Amino acid sequence: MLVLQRKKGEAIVISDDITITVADIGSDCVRLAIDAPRDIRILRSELAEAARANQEAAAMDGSAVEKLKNMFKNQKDKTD
Amino acid sequence: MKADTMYFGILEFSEKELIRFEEGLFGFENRKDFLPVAFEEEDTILCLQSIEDRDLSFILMNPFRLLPDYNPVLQPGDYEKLGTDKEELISFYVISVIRSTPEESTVNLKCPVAVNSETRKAVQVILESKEYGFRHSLSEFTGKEE
Repeated sequence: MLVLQRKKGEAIVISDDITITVADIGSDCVRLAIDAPRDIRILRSELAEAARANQEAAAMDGSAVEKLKNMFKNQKDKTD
Repeated sequence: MKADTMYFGILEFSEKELIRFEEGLFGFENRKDFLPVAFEEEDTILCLQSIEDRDLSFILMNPFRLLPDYNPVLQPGDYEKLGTDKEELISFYVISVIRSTPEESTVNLKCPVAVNSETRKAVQVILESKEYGFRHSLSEFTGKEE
């Protein structure tokens, strides 16, 4: 992995047409300004992770509910 | 209105039962209208069924039943989308992935669904808190229930 040090106002360029500038630096976060062609998809990484987590949840089949009920039932049996 | 559902066959419902996600859910931005259906009488587990797509349904849980001190903190923009900042009007649900055992099954405490229980406007959020992850094993919570 490439690690670069940049100061406020400095930038990096990725393959000619993407420029990422450090717009501001706070105590525990930085603001980035990204100049890229419209068709480049830019997501906060947690947004991509949230979408992946939802996709896993949506991929379940109908048996999920029975499994879930059994889990709760077993749990109840244990505590009874 | 009627919709075909993944778990309950064809269901009839009135429009006011629907929950509206103006921005969809993460990864499913074009599905906006969902019907919540309780699996049991108590509201611990429910199904969130898209009325536009039979094959899109989520299993939601009441996070407070899993973790009584769950503390989702919304951002100003979230309250705006919900159309209220009255905490007592906002219900929270978490999306789960059910596999064969509790150990393998997970809940996403990081991205709860918040619903305005009056207008039924809803939004899925990503909490800032580092405490909550995308995949908590359900076994973390077993035994904590009464």
